[in-house]
Amino acid sequence: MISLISIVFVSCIYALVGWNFTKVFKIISSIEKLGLAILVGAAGSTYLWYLLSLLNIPMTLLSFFLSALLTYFLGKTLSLNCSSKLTTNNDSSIKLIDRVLIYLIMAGLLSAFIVGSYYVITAWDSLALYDFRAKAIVIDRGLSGINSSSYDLSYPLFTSLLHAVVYLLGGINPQGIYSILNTSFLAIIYGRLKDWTSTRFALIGVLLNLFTYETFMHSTIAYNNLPYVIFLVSGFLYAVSDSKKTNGIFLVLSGIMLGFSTWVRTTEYFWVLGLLLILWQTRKYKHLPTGFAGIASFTILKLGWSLYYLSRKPFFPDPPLEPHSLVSLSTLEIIRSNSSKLIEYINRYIIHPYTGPLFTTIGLLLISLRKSFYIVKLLTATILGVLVVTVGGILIYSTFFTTWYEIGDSVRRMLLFLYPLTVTTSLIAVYNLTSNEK
Amino acid sequence: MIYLVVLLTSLLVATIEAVSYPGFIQAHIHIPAYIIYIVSLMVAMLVQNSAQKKYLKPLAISSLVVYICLIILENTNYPNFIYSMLHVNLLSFRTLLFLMWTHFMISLTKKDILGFTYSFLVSSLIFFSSYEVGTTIGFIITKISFIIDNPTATYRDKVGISYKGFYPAMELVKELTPPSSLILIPPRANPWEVEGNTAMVRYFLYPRIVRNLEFPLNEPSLPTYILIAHGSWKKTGSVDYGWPKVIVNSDRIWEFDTENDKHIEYLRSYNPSEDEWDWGLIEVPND
Repeated sequence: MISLISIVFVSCIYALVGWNFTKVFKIISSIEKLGLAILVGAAGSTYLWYLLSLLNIPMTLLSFFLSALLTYFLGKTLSLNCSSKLTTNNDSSIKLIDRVLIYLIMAGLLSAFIVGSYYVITAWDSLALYDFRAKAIVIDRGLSGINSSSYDLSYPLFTSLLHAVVYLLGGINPQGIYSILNTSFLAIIYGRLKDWTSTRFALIGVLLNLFTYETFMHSTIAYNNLPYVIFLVSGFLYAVSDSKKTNGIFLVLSGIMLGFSTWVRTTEYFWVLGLLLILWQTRKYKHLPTGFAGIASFTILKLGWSLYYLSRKPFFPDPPLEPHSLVSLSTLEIIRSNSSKLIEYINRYIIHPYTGPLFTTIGLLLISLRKSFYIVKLLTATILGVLVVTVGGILIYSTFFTTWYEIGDSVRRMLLFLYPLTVTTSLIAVYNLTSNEK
Repeated sequence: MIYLVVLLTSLLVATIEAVSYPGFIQAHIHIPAYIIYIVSLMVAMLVQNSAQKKYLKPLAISSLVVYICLIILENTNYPNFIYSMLHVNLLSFRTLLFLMWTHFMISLTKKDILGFTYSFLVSSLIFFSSYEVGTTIGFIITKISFIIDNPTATYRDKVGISYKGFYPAMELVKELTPPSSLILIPPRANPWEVEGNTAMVRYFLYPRIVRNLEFPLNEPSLPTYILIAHGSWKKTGSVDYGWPKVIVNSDRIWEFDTENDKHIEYLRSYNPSEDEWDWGLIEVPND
């Protein structure tokens, strides 16, 4: 019970802390605003808490509240000249089918929260890394117990700090927080889809994203793949949200969300695609100051962890494995000799588990070639970019990580964001085509 | 008429594959089933008219509902449950579903490339989402059923689902050892996959230092203990259960009773031939 209360309480803190930031961004739906507030509040508070620890401030409940307060005032400062009035699009014509969709969504969200909160943390990586770090941070009141191991610092601290806050509040199981994060993400999906389609399509989009098995299951376990999906996909969606009417502010938000994705995981390079989207949109709509601000925000957030990791590298007893050289004859020769294994690996861990999204992507590609639905084209290009980056990453990884063939499940989890990306893009395409037909 | 014949043929082929196995048609009439499906869709594009949607609609919707129900049943029972009970191959049934929906969507749209692309996209979305929705509902039912059956399960009960014996053993180690001690564990190999994994053991024992037993000991100044572990994973290699495998001189050893959270103390050395316990602890003398 204490865990449940802690999770709900800290989620309210995140929402309060992040709310000011949402005033800066012209978000239409208040549901999306709440989702964004929780995500920005959670990421911002934990990030500042980590920065305070680098100034030798012990990581206690008091210093966490200090970081939350700092995040609150940062948002307040940024939103000083922004109107707090919310322009809502009150859709009073909610039909029976929309009510049914809403009830199904609420049932799904409640189920995820109950399952995540009831079952305790038992997943291997959670015990070995993410939750262990949280417990070590609480016991040591800082990073001293984990900052001399490349394994312990292999991922940034976002999820571990989310757990640590719940432990400091007296909880014993922080797992329910992941369903709160997923709910916040779905609020953003709802807001974006409502902007581009209709309320009903937005509700269908939320339902289909919620009832995607891998993402639903991940919202009930303490892994950092889903939080990564949340920030990365939000970054992509906000980048493509930029238009002539929005004066480029979405590009800043995109940079922030992409930056926070590197606060969750840094091993993947999908943020490159996000930055390309920001640059593309900057060039198209000539939103140079905000485009630059978006990239600057991303860079600052990414450097906060990267520089710390680099500073700790001399203290690692076993240095982490790294590629020798990205483009060299020896790299190409290793790839060539591994080719049959690579094909089997890609078939087993990418094509087979993602047959549905890949099939859907073919449909999106065909539509993108035929019709000029701009957002659909951009998002489809992003999906294809993801696949190229993934295959390229596997090829490089196989040249220096000797047990690369045995960790296919990691690749499968890494591509989790294909689900929300393809579902959301497909619904936008279907809506546009349906409207066209009329 | 041509369309009806072609449609029924393709649906029959898909149904036969759904109640047998993918590749059945090719094995018996030497024509890949997907060729028949593609031909039926091409014919639909050329000769189908929108009047046919009145019988395609109920077929498409009912196949969707049936498929989702089958997926739910599969996920709330065991893998291959549907095939063993109903002789329905879910992979091929999904193909049937895709085929049905593509025909239905073609009946609703213009007969051009864009119309076909739209039909393909919607059918792909149905193909993808139906499986996901069914699997997720099956997952929810399984998890919530367990919660309803075990509403007052404790932390120990829940951890025990995945790590029976291991968690209570770790709690007993915590009870018997000071926080600043060194705990030596088995090698990280079968059958000690969990208790030989330093990352797993340290999760429960931190801030104690956890190491796989090796010589020389690098922290000789710390109170040191050796975990006794039979091996919690099924033996798959040539290494037998039981660890340590040698006599360890000690003044004190403990046998763990993980079912009742108790330990029995013995003031003697450890002998693997006598002390064949599931879990226990050896106190290493200072010298």
